[in-house]
Amino acid sequence: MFGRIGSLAHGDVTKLSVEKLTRSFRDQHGRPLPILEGIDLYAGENEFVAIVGPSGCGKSTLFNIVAGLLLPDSGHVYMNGKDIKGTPGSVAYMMQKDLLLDWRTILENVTLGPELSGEPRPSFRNRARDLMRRFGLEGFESFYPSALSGGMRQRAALLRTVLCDKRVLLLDEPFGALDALTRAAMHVWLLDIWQDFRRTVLFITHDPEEAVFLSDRIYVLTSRPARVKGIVEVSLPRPRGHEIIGTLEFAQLKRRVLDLVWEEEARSLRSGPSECSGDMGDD
Amino acid sequence: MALVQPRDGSPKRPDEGLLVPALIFIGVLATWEILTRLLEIKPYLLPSPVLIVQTVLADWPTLFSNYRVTLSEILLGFVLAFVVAMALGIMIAHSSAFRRGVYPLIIASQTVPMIAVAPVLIIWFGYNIIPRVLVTALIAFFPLTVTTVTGFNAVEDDEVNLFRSMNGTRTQIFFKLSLPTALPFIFAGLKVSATLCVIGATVGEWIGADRGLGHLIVLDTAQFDTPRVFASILLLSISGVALFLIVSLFERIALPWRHGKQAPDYRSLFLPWRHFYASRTAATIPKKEV
Amino acid sequence: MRGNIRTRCFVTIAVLVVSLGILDFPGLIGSAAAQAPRLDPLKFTFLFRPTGSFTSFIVSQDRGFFREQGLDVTFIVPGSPTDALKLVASGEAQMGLAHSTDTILSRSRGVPVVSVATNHQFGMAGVLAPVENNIRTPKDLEGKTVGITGIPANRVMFEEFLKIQKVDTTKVRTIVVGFGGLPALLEGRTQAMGDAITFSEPIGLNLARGKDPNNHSTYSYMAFYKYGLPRYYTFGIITSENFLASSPKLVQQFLRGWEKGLEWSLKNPEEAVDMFLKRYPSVKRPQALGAWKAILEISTSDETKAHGLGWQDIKVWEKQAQFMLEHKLIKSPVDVSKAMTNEYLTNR
Repeated sequence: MFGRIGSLAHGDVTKLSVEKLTRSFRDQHGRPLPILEGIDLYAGENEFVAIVGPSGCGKSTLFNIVAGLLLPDSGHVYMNGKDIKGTPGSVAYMMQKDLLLDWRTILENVTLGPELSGEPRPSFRNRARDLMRRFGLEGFESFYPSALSGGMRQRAALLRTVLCDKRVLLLDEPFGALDALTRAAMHVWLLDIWQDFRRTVLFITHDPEEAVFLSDRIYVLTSRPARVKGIVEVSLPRPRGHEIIGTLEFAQLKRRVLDLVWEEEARSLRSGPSECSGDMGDD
Repeated sequence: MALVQPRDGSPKRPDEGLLVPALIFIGVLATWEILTRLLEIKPYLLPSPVLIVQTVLADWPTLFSNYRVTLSEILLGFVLAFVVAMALGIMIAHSSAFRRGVYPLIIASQTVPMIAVAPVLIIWFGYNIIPRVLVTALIAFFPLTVTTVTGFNAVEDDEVNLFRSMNGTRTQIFFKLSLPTALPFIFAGLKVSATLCVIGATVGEWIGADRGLGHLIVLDTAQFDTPRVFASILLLSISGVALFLIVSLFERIALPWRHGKQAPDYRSLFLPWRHFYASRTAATIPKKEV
Repeated sequence: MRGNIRTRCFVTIAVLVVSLGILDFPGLIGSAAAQAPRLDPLKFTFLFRPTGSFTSFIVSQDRGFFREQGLDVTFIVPGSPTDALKLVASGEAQMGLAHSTDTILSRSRGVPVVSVATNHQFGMAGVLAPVENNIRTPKDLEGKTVGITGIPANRVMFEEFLKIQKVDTTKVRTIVVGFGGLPALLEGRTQAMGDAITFSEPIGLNLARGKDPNNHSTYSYMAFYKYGLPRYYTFGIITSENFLASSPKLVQQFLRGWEKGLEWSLKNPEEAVDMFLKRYPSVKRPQALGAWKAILEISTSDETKAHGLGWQDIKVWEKQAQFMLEHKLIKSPVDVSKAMTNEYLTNR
């Protein structure tokens, strides 16, 4: 069904795989606008997989499809071998905006997942309280999102995603809105959390350094219509600290990713601007 | 990583005090009083504030007994307007077919002069409080409907997707997302509606009534008792303001996230000693709870 | 911030309780009057807001004249005179008051109402001026400004009045003042009111100037019917053709009760007005008494002495209908014999 490229450092079992995913929208004139074309990717159990590519809506569309919010035109999404196309609730999805609800306290916000799935309140409340400290939100349980800084809001959104208790997490540019210093701190923190919680993580980023630092495998996508341009396996040892950024191996991996990205940027500049407005008509 | 301490609960707003507004208010009244005397304006044209207050005190039994009648029309009309506006607002926001069919009719309903439909209402519903309550609700329901629709339309697609990604049902999306989003808008409309109910009840009485402040105003206008007309108007104005304030009060209770950074602790209502303890330590130590 | 919630909750609850406490709950439910099983209920609508001119009806109910006849009458105060007509025509009110002009007008439009009695024997409109303006004859209006309400029927009558009295209309300045006739007169913007109503404006004029309401010497008044206009009835009792057909006996009983009430009120005006005021305490006594006393003067005539209270001369109706047709107040002729009847009056 799919080929494994390189050696997998973490786990042998494929958790999530996407095969030949294709999706088009219609632009404002009604012409078909291909967004994804034959995307193939996979993530093994407890692997950390990054998706990098030029700005555009393709990557979020990919995530929307995997999360079951959108149906592809063709192709499949398998989790544990089962087709989860069009079934929401199989993965935990953290979108670009933190989407914390203003009228709920932080505690109520982070426990939204289990609340919606019917878990008893005392049970999920306790789980959440235990984790709030790890996520740096201790003491803010009864505060509203307006009291939180940007970084704290992202952490709250991430906690919400984690509390959904799903084996696969999709993170769409989780640290995109943060400044470089905060982001660097978040990377270390995230890996720390991930060590304890051991999930399969797919995440989208613009930052090649972030991709290399965090992940086991990086997929570089082309601009619209998105295809897999290249795959970079990252076999740096774990656990990783900041010191790894200065190493030669790190720099080489980062170089490879950057080359792929720049090549794609140049190519898309030659072929014309790729308009990708947020408001895409659905078929 | 360093933890940021919880910030203080209440938002800081400059305290304007009551002094300046009170002075402005009294200044306006004083100017009115002085002008009335200076220009020798006849009381049956425009009574002075002092005369109006005297009339309120002198005619209190009549004014109060009529006021009670109008007050019941106001409150019943308000409840009816609320129910109708909620129902219409939710249906319009959730069904574009309903919106296209019904919205124009709703807007048209606001342009009908009440005197034209007065006899029809009495013939259909009888000569009792029902037509008056209907008129009150008719006048008051529209702004609330509009704000309710706006409120439900303010739900963002991304937020819906968030719920869907967690396999939320449509009922859950309605009660846990749409309704809280719409609530601030609904309260804005409620405040306007509450005030409109006052004039609505007055108009309702004009279509046929033998009691109430609206009826009294018609009577007193014909009897040239303009001071008592203004006394009635004063009572109605106070009602309008009171209703507005009551709705605002409910708003503060219902929308705590708009008035502070921290959720209010309602348990302190019933456990005074805990309230005392919590209020002393709220700003610095997060509560150690269950 | 937190402590305030508690206070606010209690305040809210307190306010709710207080406001509920002063609601007029009995008024909401309506007075469930203990009714003797034999009494027939009848709804009677006035023209507009209660005035002393309706005293006779209140007396008939509250002194038991209606009850003697087996009726329990409740009163409706409509929003306007035309509403009253529609209420009677639709059956929501079984009987009611209507101005003869409106009765003729509505019959010309196919509204099936019938006048079964007339409350007033003479017209109530005329020219009113304070005595110091020296307007004692129609010709005195030349060179003056006259305020009129603008109601078409009244305007027609005023212009006809001037024409019949051979007043030079180019010398009379007529302005429409709506219902602000008295203030305009008091402020001196007008010197006379062109269509003042007998039982209302003269009294208002006196009261505004601190005089006894029924003092006739403070003003001059020229009633139209005394100056050449056809005599016409004004307020009359109407019912619908349906009700007449279905319950003629009730109509008779009503009129009998009312005649007795009217008779009593004519003889005991002060007590009659006090009964009226008991029902409608917001009406002021001087106004109510003044109005009733003015009505006294036009409730009886030679005809009533001969034929009984409420009697209508069909010729008066014919002349009024004719006048209205000539002056285009109605578009088609009205068969007056169908518009009125004396059949149900007690002494005809």
